[in-house]
Amino acid sequence: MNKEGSLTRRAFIAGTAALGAAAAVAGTASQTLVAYAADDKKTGATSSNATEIKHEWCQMCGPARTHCSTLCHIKDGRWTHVEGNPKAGNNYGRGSKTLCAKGNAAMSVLYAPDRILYPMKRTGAKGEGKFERTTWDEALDSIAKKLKEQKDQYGAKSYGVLSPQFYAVLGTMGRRFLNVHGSPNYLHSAICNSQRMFSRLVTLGGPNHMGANGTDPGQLAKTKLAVNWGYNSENSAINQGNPTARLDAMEKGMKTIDIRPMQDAMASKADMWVPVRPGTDCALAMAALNIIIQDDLYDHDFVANWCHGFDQLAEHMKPYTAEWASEHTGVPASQITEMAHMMGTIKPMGIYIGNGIGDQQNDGHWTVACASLIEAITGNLGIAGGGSASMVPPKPLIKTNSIDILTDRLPKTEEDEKNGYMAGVSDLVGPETPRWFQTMKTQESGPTTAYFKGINSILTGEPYPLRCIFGQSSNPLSATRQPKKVEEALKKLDFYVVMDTQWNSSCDYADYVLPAATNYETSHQFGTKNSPAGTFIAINQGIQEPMGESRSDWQYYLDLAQKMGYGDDFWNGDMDACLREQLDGSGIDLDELRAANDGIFVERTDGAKATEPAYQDYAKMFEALPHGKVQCYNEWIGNKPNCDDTGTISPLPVYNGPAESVAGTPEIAKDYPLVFSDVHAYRLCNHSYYVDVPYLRELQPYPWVKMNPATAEKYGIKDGDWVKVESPHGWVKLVARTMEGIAPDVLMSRRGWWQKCDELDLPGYGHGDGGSEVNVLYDSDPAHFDPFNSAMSKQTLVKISKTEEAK
Amino acid sequence: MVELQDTWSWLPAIYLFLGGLSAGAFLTTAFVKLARPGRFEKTVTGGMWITVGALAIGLFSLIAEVEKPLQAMWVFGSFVNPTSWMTIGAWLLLVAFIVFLLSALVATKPVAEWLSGSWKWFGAHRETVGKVLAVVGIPLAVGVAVYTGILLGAAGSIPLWDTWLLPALFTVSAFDTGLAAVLILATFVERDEAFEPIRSLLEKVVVALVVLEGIVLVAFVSTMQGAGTNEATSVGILTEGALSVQFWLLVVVVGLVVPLVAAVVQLLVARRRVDKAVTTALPVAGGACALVGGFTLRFVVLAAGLHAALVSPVALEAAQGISMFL
Amino acid sequence: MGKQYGFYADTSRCIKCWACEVACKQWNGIEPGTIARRKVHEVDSGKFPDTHRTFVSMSCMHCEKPACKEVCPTGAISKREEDGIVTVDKDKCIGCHYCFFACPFGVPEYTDAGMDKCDACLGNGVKIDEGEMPHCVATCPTKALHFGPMDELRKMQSEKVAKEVVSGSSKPSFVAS
Repeated sequence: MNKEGSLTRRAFIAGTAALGAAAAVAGTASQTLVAYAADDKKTGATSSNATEIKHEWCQMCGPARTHCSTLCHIKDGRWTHVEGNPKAGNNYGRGSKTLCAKGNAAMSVLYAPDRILYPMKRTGAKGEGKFERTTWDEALDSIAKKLKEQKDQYGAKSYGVLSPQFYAVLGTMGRRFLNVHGSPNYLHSAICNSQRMFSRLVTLGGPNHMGANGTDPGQLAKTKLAVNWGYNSENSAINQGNPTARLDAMEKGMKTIDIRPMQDAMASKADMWVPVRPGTDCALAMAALNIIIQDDLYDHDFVANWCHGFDQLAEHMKPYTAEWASEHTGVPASQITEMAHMMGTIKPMGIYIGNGIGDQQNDGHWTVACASLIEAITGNLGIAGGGSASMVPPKPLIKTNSIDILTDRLPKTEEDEKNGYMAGVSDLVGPETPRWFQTMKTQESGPTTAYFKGINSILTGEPYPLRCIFGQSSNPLSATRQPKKVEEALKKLDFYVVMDTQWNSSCDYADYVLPAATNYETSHQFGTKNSPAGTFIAINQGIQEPMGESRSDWQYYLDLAQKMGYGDDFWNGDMDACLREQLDGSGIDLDELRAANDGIFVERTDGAKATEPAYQDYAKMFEALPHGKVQCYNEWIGNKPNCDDTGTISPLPVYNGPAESVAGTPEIAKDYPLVFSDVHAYRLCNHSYYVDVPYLRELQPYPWVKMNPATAEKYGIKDGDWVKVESPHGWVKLVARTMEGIAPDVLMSRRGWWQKCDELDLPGYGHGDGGSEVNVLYDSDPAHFDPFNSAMSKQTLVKISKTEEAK
Repeated sequence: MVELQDTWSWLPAIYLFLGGLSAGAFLTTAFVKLARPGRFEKTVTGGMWITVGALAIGLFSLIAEVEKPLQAMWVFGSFVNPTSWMTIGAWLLLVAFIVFLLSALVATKPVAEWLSGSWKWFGAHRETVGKVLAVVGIPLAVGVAVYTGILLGAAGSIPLWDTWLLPALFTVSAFDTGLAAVLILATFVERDEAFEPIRSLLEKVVVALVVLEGIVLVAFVSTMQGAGTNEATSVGILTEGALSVQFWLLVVVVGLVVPLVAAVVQLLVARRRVDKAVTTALPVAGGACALVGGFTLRFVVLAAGLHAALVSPVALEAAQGISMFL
Repeated sequence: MGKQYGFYADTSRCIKCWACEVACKQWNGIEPGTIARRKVHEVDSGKFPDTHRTFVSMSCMHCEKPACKEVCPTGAISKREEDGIVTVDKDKCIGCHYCFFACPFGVPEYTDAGMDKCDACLGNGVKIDEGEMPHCVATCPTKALHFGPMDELRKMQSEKVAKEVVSGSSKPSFVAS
């Protein structure tokens, strides 16, 4: 019996027709008037009885993504059905038509009834919601004028861009604009994959950021033990091959250990589920590393030849016993020992290090480093079935070019020269990693500031306040910690521009809100997939003309560049020219690509297959590391300035824990006895978006918090009751959902929930105290962030009580 | 906890109740008519119209319950599958309604008079026609009463309904409630003092029916308690679960105990001089309580009729290797 | 009769991602907030930390002896000769709900068009006799759901640990592992 969001056989609400109800949506005080009728929408497709099929890259993992190629079925100009494109090689390969729940609901994104249709200019006070319609020209002219003014007055560095999850538009076009304009302030989220890449790079080495050596099993079929450590792919990457590949391997006998606070789907199939207390994975990793060393389960040969500082590490780790870790993690010492022994004895072993532990804890770096060292010292790196030893696919048959981000255009300042920094680094308002550390090898696409620190600069004025922020496909009131501070900052911010498909909760604080088109309305991005069978390439064909006056996210930069006088660097506004540049030399013509209703597949005829990599090529693998060896004692970052220049980074593992924790802050735990965290990714949403999609929202209509039934009973709460959840920093209202697969002192929830769903008559929830945005609960003192990679904790202590229903 | 069954809720409960009531009312009225032809016209006529009215409202509730009422009303087109008890029932109800309606029309003086005037044959055989209709209606009425219980049991996947004791219970309750309705009517409209012995007899029948219903109810509950986990859980909803107040208070106390006591007291005071108010209040109160209990009985039996698929705690261990649905 | 087709749910691979539910809804034009022809059921046991969660995706069982067909007064429910799929003629259906009470699995749901349930995607044009798969099966990212002739499905099931998830006198065309 599925209790969560279960529908009775009665109609839930007699709502308007599902997909694309062309109902006029009246504006409320805090929303603009975005009414439109069916005939305002330009359909653009041919009207015939037959079904037309168009190719689109699925947008449901985020805009500008090209993971899953989809075929969109269009009847009478209306997109009605969608399926995975068997030609492309999604998920488990060619022939797969699979899509996740989100992918199956993608039409809603195009036809969302509250799409922003026109550029809007704020006329009232920030937060009032008073806007008037304006034109693109007027908006872009104003933005350009403001940027030029601010560049003159404060320097180009005063302009920063919000980075949501990895977003191709920002990573290429947006970075290019930053470089040409002269600002380094790419405000990377600092709760994302990058944090783990930094840690892996400095511990295990690699040629660059994207190529950092890793611990995840490269050839699952040969792996005997896969450790899922805070790894959430049954929520974040359902159709991207991994849950399926892991299940295949498990069927053939591969064992798994799943280390996560909640017994998620894959954890329920694991041989061992380790219910670690949120925020304490570093303690667990340190103890496991220690046990493996103390119990002599490491590969002596590898350690002797390829590890630097092992003896110092071994000595340093001695106090971090299973008992010590048990106190912090809530996991019995015996299980910690058993887990460590499994990792130390079952070979080949690989570790999937997840977002939750490496990117979203105060100790993100050392958690990743310790897990990486476990993989290394057990001799699991570079072996078949272990980490950093994936099969090498044959070369792509279609070679396209990346968009040049014009790195050299970002000028080196005097400070940069003086300190030997990469260009732009000294101008960073809140560096994500230490300034001295940031190079084109270590960073993803250039200098980065941590998102929250950038916003915080507006409040503190230190080292200087950002003056203009551009948010594209990101809602800062959900994307980072402490929305109350973010709101304050947005109120103070000189100039805030947002480009989005819908009125996100930060839009009321914007000066301009621009209408974004979805992947489904433009044809500005293509993607490729390479496999032994061949290479696939396809472009978003565009199902219809952009709604209202919406424009593609790519086009925005080109248009703004024209107004800024950067036109020459941005194809003078011609996105097709940019696309042609990307396709130059590939053998594929843009028009040919745009005409391909299910993409183009070039078959491999030379019989080339995926080949095994060079195993144990340690000299090459660890080339970039100090001494060319794995950093057990980290000389790359050890004893060097941390990212805020407030101290130095330890060369050996350190455990801090979250700002509020059961073992770390027992005084706080007296009043706030339960540990609270949230799932970063969930299979029914994309971060805080898509809560308005009816097919997804009906499965989980209300913001939830999962708790053990014993806990619920203790507080007089029943499954389905609204509860007040309060931390030392704020409070929210959530609906309790009981499950046994979670420790009695742990609560897990999901963030976001600001979008309403009109079709189901369900509200959006607020981002302040009393709303349902759980980021309100967490500590947000930059002094507590990870000193190496700025990772921010999403764990805290709370108290709960039953409450009246949220409005 | 499992949700109560709500696919068939208020409207089907009303239909089951009124259908049963109309059957019981017809039987009572037919008895009076056949036992004392030509007498107690007010009671007979009123009783017939209660029959018709109850069945009409019951059928209306039934039609209103379905997704496509207009289509359902076209009985000839819609009820064609002979393997379905609903088809059998639909035709049975149609024929019964026609007979009941004719009976009521014939029993209504102005109508009968008008008919006699315009149709000679009828004028001559008026009494016989009335009697024949009454006789023909009796098995139909029994059929209607029994059918309401069979319909539920024939579905097959509701453990609580899967017993012959359910039609038995509904049938006794139908007689009980129909009789109660007619008695209430008679209390108000029947002025003929010669009705007293009939009334007395009917009160005795009330006693017998209530006792019988109590026995059948006990049998039903205990059979369910011993039949298996699914059945026990379902009946547990009535005896100690979410509907226990409605069951014990309304069905048992109000629906059975109070009418029994009222009937017994009536019989006891029949020989004495008692206040007119009492002799009016007792049968009316007793009858009204029987009606409340009868309706509640249908309602709670429906609501506790959980699917075999949903009720069993064992069902919740399904896919882990233990049989879920059997 | 031709071969009996049905479904096979492999619970060892199901991750309760709900793709099958949503695929079914979008391909069959089901209005959000109304019904669901297919549902992913969760079955739990044990107490923390020794807890078990199992997920099984189920829809109509396309029984060999469909109880719904027996009790439908209008004869709107029929069982196809060629593949044993049980279908509903919505034009004939009056929505009396009797089939819900007859179905041992509580499958029938109702809209104002009549009773609505899985028809193996026949209604949206999938040609199961040509080996095409219903959309729930085609979309499952972990290959946890299968469709085909029951003898083939039983063969597939025999390679794993069979689970007796459903059984009954109506003879459901459904196996699980």
